[in-house]
Amino acid sequence: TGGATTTSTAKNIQSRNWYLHDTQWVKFNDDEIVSLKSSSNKQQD
Amino acid sequence: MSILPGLTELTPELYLDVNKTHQLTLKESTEWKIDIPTSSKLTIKIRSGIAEIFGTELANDIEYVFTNWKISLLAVEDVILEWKCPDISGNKALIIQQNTTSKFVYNLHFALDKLRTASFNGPRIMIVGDTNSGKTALCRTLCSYAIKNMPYQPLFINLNPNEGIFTPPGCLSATPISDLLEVQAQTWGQSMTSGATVLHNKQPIVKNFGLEEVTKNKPLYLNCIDQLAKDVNERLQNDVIVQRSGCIINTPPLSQFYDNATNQYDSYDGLLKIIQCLNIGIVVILTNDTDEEQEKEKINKLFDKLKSIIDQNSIIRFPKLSGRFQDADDTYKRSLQRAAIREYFYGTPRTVLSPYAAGADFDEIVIWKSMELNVNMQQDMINPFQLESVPIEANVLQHALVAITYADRKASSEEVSKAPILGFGLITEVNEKRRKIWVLLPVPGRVPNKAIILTSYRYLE
Ligand SMILES: Nc1ncnc2c1ncn2[C@@H]1O[C@H](COP(=O)(O)OP(=O)(O)OP(=O)(O)O)[C@@H](O)[C@H]1O
Ligand SMILES: [Mg+2]
Repeated sequence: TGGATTTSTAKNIQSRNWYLHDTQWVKFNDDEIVSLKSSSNKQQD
Repeated sequence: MSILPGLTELTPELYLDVNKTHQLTLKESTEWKIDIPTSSKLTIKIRSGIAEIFGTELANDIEYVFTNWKISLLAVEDVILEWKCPDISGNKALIIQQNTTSKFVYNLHFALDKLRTASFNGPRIMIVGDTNSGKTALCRTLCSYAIKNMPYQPLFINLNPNEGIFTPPGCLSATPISDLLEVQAQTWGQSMTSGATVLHNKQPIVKNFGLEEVTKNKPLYLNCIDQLAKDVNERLQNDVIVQRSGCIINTPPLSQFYDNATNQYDSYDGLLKIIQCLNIGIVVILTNDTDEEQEKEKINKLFDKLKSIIDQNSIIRFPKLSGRFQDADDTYKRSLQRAAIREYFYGTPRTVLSPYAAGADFDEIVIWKSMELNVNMQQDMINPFQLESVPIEANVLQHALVAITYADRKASSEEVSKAPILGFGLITEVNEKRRKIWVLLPVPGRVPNKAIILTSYRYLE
C-alpha cells in the first residue's frame, strides 16, 4: 500500500547537493538515484 | 452547483471546533476546488475510491497535508474522504463542480503513449496559453500519467522563470521524471539531497535567467533556452529511456511574448525559436472559444505562425483546464516562489534539510547581474548577454537569492555567462562596517570560490 506517501516516517536531517556540471548531467542516468523505496511503489494495484 | 451526497447529514455547527474532521463524498468526475487560506493547513485522507491532484493519485488511508495552495481534487471514481482545516468552516462552503476537461487530458495522454510505443524518439510537446489557463497543471498531469503504468522517464522542461519547479524560481530547467511526483509539493518534488529520501530525488539541469519578466531581456532568455537545448539534446542521445519518453514543456504566459516597444505581439518569434531549438513536434494551445475579436485574432495569428514550422495536425486547440483558478494573482504567485526558495534550503516537513550559513569578506566575493533592457536603450549598441558587476552593498544584496556558477570567481563576464550553475545561495546579511557578507548555502562548507550572479528574487526569513 501507499508507503510512498506516509507523513510519519523518520525525519532524517540531510542537505541538498550541488547541481551536476552540465557535462555530468548529459551522461547521467536516473536509475543511479537511490531511494528508500523502489520506484515500483505505485500507491495501489 | 448541485446538491451533493454527504451534505445533508450535516447539522449546523454551533461551536467551531478547529479539529473537527469532516466527511465528504465526491461523485465520479467531479472536482473539489480548494483554495487553502494563507498560513492554514488542510489535511485530507481518502477513505475509498480514486482521487487525483494534478494527475497524481492519493493513496487510501494516508494523511496528506497541504498548505498555501490552490488545488483541485479530481474524483476519478466515487470517493469518500475525510478532511480537516480550521479555516474552512464546513462542507457547505466548498466548491464542488463537474470536471469537464479530464477526458481530453486522458485522450492527449493516450495519444502521447502511442507515439512513445511507435518510435525511439518520443513526442516533444509544448503547452502554451494565457496566464492561469492551466499550462503547468497540464504538464504536471501529463508527466504523472506518463510514469503511472509504464517505466517511462519523460523529460519535463520548465521555461517559465516565475515558477520554481524542482528548483528555486528564476531559472529554466530540465528534469527527467523517473519516479512519482510528490503530491503535497508545489515544487512537484525535491532535487538531489545528500541522503536517501522516501521518494527518490530528481536531478534537474538549471540555467539561470534571474529576472522576473521574460520581456526584461528576451535575447538573454532565448539564449538560456539555447544553452539548455544543447544539453537536453545531448542527454537524449545518451539516454534511451528519456529519449523514448519524450519531452513535456511548460512555458510562460503568452503575454510574455508581447513586445512592449511596438505594443504588439512579437509575432511569436520567441516561441518559434524555442520550438526550433528544442525540436518540438506538438504544440497544445489552451484557449476557450470567445467572441472577443482581439482574442480570436491573437490565437489565429499564433496558429498561422506555428503552421509555418510544424505540421498543422500537431497543433492542438485544447480547452482551458476546468479545475483552474482564474484568480491566482501575483501575490499568490510570489508566495509560491517564496515557498520554492524555502524548500530549496530547508526542505519539507518530511525531508528536513539543514542549510549552512557561511561568512566571507567583501574582497572574497564577486557578484554579477544580468542586464535589464529598456526601450530607451539603443538595442544595437549593447550586448544583452553582458553581465554587469554588482557593488557589494546591503541595500542591493540583502535577502537576495543568488546563483552560484561553476566559473571561477575571477572569470570574465563572458565566461561567467556561459558557465553551468552549481546551485543557489541566499544573502542573509551584508555588514558594510566589518565588510563581511553572510550567505546561506544548501551544502556545508565555505562560500565557493566561484562567480556569483544576483537574481531578482528575494526571500525574507
Ligand atoms: N486541476 C487543475 N487544473 C488546472 N489548474 C488548477 C487545477 N487545480 C488547481 N489549479 C490552479 O489553477 C491555477 C492556474 O493553473 P496553472 O498554474 O496551471 O496555470 P498556468 O497557465 O500555468 O498559469 P501561468 O501562466 O501564470 O503559469 C493555479 O493556481 C493552479 O494551482
Ligand atoms: Mg504556469
